[in-house]
Amino acid sequence: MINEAYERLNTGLKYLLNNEQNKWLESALDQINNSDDLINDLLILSAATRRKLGADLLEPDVNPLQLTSDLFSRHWTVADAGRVLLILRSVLTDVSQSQAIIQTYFQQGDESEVAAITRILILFANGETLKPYALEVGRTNSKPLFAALAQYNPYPAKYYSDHEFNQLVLKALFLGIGIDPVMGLLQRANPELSQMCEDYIKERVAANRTIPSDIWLALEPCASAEGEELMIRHLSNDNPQDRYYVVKALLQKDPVTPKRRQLLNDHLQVEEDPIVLALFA
Amino acid sequence: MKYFDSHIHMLARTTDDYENMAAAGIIGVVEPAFWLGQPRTQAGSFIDYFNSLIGWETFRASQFGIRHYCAIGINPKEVNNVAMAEEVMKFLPRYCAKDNVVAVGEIGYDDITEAEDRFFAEQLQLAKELNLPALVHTPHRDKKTGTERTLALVKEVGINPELVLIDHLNEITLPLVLDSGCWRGHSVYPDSKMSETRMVALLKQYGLEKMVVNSAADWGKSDPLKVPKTGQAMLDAGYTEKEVEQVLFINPIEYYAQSGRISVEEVLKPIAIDQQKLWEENSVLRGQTPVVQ
Repeated sequence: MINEAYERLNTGLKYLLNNEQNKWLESALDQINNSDDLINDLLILSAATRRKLGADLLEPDVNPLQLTSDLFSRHWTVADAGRVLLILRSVLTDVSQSQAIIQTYFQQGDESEVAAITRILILFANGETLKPYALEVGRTNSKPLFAALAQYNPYPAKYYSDHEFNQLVLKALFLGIGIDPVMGLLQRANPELSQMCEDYIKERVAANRTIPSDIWLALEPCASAEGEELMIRHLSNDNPQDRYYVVKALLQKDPVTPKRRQLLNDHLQVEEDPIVLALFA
Repeated sequence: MKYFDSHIHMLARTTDDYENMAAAGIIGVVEPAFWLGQPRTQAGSFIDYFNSLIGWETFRASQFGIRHYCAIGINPKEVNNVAMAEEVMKFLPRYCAKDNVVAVGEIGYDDITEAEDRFFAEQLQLAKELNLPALVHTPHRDKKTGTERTLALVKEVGINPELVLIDHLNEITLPLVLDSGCWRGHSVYPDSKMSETRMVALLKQYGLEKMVVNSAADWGKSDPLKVPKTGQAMLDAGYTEKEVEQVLFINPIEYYAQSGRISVEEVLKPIAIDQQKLWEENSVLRGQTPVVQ
């Protein structure tokens, strides 16, 4: 899997970089390939990557590179991609050092480096043994770092227990990080998560505070009657973003029940927002 | 009016804060050991941290006429580094024995993991054995479950609930604690946990008994004057000065006084400020004329 992802990213990235950037990256990858002090070279080259390649986004929604069946370079920066290549090249150069490479990179990387390796946790062998790193990243209050774990990242859905997954989703809501891009959200949904979302809403309401618009995506799959009613009530909110996520939540389970179909048809008659209407298409 | 902040992380605050707190009537604080905003990766970092709390910080506070006490513990977030937490647990009892340590804390749940369960229980057990109060943090997320599990664990460990203060309560979690015998803590924050107005509403609804209010000010956006500000909100809502002092001065000290290492009389005794003094050859002054009372 590492080999395949490395080749795809290396090929794809070449087209996005200018000559000078390509030259630096090629020489950095060569240096790793021939290194007799692999971890040290990786960390020094990785630290320079953002200065050398820049931190522009890789055209996030137009053409993200598909690295494996479930890993896309969505929301990666050029520096992320460069660092990922350096990490993968290191592991491919000496697989016997891969645990030490991962450990040292997590321990001594700066925030953006830790975000880069977090995005590709799914690629490494023995994924289960890497969970402590993911959980430690999840303890951050830095939004960009937490987002690297929670959004467009297949690792949590694959390896987290229900409890760990639920805490991840709740913390994303708490930090104001969108949960729509949490991979496997619908598949991993469970009654405890719905209950946690309902409790969170009650707490926010009691404190006179707003409810995250997208919370319904996590609440809906196993909603209690009370939760379901609460969600449907938000269908008449003034803010179109609130209505968007309620409609999206109501549509997310296939097939849509006749009762919900009726409700959505009724709503369709009064909905005017083009983005919400597009969900019905 | 005299105030006591039962939970504030002064190590992260400035000397301006101490001056403003003293001017607003705060004459004593408890600083619980907590997370520093970034993970510590080795147990030795906790030794240095605890030493700063019981020594340097108590000295800094005294330079502004404020009595400073501590709670010592390993916080729920960092116990998830199990190997490190095991090391810290070995020297924790030594620090809990110090003169100005009036509680074990803050302990509790963050993500409600197995490791958190284990070290929360071990530290409650330690408080029980040492007959010290235990200051319990309730989680930011999944707060209701965290509070319910806290109450269950207090029962399971068998520590006297009178020794336990459950902190950061809100409208949903306070009612769960009412019949438990535990003390009830509330952290008034700018724009989050709890506001002065909401706090006064809770006092109106549930009364003053065992109610404690603090600022929980730390390295983040927080306000070390939230206790006196809550006092003003109570006065504005019709409470008498005596009632304000009961909640914002007497209650927290009576709770920590169960340690036998703090009393209302002691906190009321003014500290003669002497800014000529040094702590390990260090002073809070930067060339200013020392205040000596």
